[in-house]
Amino acid sequence: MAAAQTETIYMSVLSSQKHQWGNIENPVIGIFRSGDAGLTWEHIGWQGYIRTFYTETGPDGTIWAGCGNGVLRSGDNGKSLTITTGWQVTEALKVRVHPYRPEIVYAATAYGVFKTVDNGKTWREMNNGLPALPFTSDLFIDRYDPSKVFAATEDGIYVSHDGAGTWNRAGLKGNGIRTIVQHPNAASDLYVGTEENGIYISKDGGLTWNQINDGLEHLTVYSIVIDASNPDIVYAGTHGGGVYRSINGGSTWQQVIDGLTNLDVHALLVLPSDPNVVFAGTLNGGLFISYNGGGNWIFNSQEGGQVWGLSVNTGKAK
Amino acid sequence: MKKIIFLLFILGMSINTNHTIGAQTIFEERAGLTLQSAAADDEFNLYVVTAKLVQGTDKETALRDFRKLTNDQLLGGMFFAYQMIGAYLYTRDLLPGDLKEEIRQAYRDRTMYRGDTENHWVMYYTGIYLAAQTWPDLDEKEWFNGKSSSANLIEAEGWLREWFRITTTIGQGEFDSPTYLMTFLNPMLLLYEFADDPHMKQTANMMLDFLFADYAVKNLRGNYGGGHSRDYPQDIINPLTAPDVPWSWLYFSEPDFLPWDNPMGEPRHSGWNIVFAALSSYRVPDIIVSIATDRGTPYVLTETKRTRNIIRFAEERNLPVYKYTYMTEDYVLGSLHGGILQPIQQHTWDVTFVSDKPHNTIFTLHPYYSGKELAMFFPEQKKFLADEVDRYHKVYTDPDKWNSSSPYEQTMQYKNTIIVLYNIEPGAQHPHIDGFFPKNIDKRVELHNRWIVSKAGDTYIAFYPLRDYVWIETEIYDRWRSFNLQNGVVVEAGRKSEYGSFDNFIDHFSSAVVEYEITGETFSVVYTTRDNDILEFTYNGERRINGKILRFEDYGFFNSPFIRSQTGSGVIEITYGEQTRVLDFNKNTITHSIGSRENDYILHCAVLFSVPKEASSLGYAHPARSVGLFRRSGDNEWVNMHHPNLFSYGLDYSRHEDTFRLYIAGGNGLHRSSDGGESWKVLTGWQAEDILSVATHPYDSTIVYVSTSFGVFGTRDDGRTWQRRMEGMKRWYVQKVIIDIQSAETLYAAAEDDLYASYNGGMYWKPLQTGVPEILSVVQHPVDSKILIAGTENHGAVVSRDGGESWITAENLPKTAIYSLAYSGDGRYVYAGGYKTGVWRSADNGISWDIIWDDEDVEAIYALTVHPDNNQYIVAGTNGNGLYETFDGGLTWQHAGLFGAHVQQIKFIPRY
Repeated sequence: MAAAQTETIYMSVLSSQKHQWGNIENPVIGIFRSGDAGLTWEHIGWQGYIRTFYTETGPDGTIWAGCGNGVLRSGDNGKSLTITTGWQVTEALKVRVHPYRPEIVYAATAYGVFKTVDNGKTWREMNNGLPALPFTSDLFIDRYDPSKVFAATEDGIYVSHDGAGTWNRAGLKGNGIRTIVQHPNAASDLYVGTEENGIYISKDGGLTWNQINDGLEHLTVYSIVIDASNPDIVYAGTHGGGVYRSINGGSTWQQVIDGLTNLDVHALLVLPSDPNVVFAGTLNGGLFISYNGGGNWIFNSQEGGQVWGLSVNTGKAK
Repeated sequence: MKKIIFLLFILGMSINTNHTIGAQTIFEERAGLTLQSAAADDEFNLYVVTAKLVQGTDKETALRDFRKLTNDQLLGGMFFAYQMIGAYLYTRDLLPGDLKEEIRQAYRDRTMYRGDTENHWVMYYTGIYLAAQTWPDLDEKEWFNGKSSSANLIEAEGWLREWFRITTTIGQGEFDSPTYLMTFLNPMLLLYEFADDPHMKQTANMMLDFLFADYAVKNLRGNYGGGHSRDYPQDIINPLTAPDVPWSWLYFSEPDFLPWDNPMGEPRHSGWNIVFAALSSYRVPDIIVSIATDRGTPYVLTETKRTRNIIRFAEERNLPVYKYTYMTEDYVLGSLHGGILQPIQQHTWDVTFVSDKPHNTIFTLHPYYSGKELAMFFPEQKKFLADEVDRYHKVYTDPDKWNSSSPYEQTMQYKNTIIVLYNIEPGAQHPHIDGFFPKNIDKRVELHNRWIVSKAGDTYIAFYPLRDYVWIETEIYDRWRSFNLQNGVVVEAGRKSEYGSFDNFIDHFSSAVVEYEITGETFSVVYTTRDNDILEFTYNGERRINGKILRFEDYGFFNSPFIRSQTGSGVIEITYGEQTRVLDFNKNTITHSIGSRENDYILHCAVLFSVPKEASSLGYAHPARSVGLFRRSGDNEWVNMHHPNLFSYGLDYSRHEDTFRLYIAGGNGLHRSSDGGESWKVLTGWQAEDILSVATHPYDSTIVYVSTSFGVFGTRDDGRTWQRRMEGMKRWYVQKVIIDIQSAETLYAAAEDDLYASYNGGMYWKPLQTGVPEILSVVQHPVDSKILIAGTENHGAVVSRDGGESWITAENLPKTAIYSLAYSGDGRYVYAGGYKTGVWRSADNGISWDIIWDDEDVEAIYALTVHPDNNQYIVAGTNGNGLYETFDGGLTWQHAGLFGAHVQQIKFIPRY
């Protein structure tokens, strides 16, 4: 059991079989956070249905959330939430804050990539070079070179070297990309989860890709998370197969579903302060937690909920 | 031509022009009945609350319910957003102050989910717009979304204007939905009633006219006929219980029963959502009521709509949806062209007949579902979506469902006949085809040759399945089901008035033959209708009608006797009898006219020279060698307006406020009259002789351009000084200069070596690299400024669709001199004429052409024009044979005077 934590976990619950429109007595959808490693959860917004896909905090503690109504921002630690986008931005599936410049935020949406450089006052569509229908499931900013951005589209990976100003193909054409993550220490090591073809790895920043599905029996991969304290340990959340774990950087995979009663795993999180603690957000089964690196899972909360996104803030709150 | 004109321009503020006492009185009665009945109901919603308050029947209950609804935390979202402000605005004078404050606070405290469909957004942004207008000075903290009132108003107006534009140019996404119609009408009614901004109010008025006209033209005695984007199974199989029926009753008085006392069955909705309509001051124009109810003459309607936003697994966001509807007094047969056009609730086709019994419709479908289909429209995960949607739309995965969009279904319709083909991939859900046949029809007979013939009142329906099927009986209908994955049906409808009796109908179909051939993955059907029209249809292949390939692009935005519009134009012409109502969404105007509008214009022409010939046989006055500017008088005489010896190449006019100016491009300079032709003045000096064309600026009367044999000249001081504008041009001789319809600083010049464009009023010219020399004529599409067509001396015409970036050669236009090009006012057709060509017409902006007139007496066509308001009225000017005109789009031509004249330009000029 983990000791008291300093980090804050954000959980985005898209919808729930238990949800009743606007039922404030039983908030089962929206944005939740926990400051005690999941023992208790605080519901910070909104009361009703807005379809929250993902929430994360920037380096200054500002909370950003992607939802059906656009991109939300809270600069007062969740007391109030403001929609920063206009009618042009809808169905924001992921938000990513620049690692050093908190005023720069990207949104991956069903209509492509949008970016603000002024803390959400204005947003610009950044789809130059993306496919005609630029549906973008995920996006990440290179921690080592933040002008470099990767986008996960329905037709492979795209990369931009100028902060999403222009995009170029970076492989895996024809693949619906569900998630893309960067190795915590090796900038050019990228992992990708796909709709039909399992997991790919690139060791050269997206120039070449190799499929790494040894032991992976479920090839629709919604989420990948790497244990930062031991990057050989990688977890993958799948459709229908629950969680897979690799202890060798993805060379081989083993299904770890003991106690996991819902096998559609859409979000994963390794607790930075205690990497044995792993969270798994499922589609319609709520949130599960493992205290032994996936050895077994215990139901945590959000019965019937679609836990679409998980993120952690180890820095200060705002 | 000679009818008396009554013309009403309604600009800015709307004044409804159709107050015929009778119809409006009836509307008032129905509206009053609606309010009384809704007020007496105990349904717990904002419509009933509103009715109770305005009727004053039960104020205490109404206020109690209003307060409960306002504070009910379970309410929120887009329905709440617009209903709450609508109820508030209709009753605000009757509400206590604290309740008014609670209503305002609901927009701060309640979650207003914007939704993910077109109707959601219309409701949400209308609600936000009106709430922001109602409480205009609130800061960010007083709104749920952290935006101030003014920011909310701007955002809402931004989206609404974008929706108006898309809906009136490429079509509605949730088009023709009996259920969702009210979610568009109600917000527009509220905007019409309560928007302070007169421009917004006017647009709302136009959108209402547009939506009601779109609805009216497919309405058969209250049945919403044909293909629907979204429909619920109960309503599909029983059209007169659908949620649109109360609307049809309120506005068109059909059906003739009270919607809340429906003999056809229990509707899914009470119908009280017409309360706002009953309170509204908007009145549907009589012309639209007539279109909804006059079924005296059968008609064909073709339309283009669009798919809702596709977010992945396609190449385009909004693919076109092509619709066909055939309307008669007894039945309506209508269809979408097939495929996945809307997720979940599509209704592809039906034949719906007038009946006093419920379930008055027949149709087929493939009950398909897949996660991929859903993921095309929803952002959640593909593999998970089918289960998800099933939570909300229980019927989606049901193999017996009565609504479906299938990628394996294609249709072809021509008038009263439809062919529907299914080619279901093995493994697809669900592997069968279903057909709906109501049990209560008068008769159904299966003939020896496979035809299934049905009689329903005065409608006869013949249904031919290509392959095997079974019947599954239920209480109210028989389900026709085929397990053949490749199958199809041919359906031809008929009427008692055509056949005399059902026996005759049976006789005909006893020997009717459907030919079909299945070859591997595709198959073809050939069928000859009773009217001897031959329909050929290959799955994934061509559709042919009497040998001619059916092109969906020809469907237009609307094409019917009652509504006409070209896709992309934003101009909708609604016609009934002598009345015409033009909704121009570019100008935000409604123009309603009664009678022909042709006499609003006077025909003018520029005559370069005249050949003396005997004209007595034609009965026209010989103009005695005269040349110059001519104007046609009311009694069809041609009057020379200026000097009878002025060689005239061209003409133009400008009208700004109270000035009206006529210009003649003449052999000795540019002539101008500012007094309607009484007196003339030469504006140019010795530098500019032989003025070949003149172009006036659209809104600055001091700016004029001319092209001459010595270059292009321009004035910006009303003709006092002229500058030669030739930088960038290689050759001096410029036959014609025109001004861009959108940007008045953009000019096009037809020069000897190329077509040139200038983007700064002629200061610099850029060759457009047409690839052909000797440009003689140039024309721009009247709406889409990117479409340009240039006629050449020896190479026919060339066409650009990207503002001159790239050019293609007009396909089958003669490769000879093309002197004249003219667009119809709505941009639907472009006409061309030249040396020994006759007159040609193109319906695809100049790519392919058909000859519509040729006459051995006519050597060359030097001038063409189309009446601005009448596509059918075209005038051609010849080299030595004067003018010819047609009033039927080119079928028949007659001489129009000025025998012997070489006519260089013709123009309809608004009466001055």
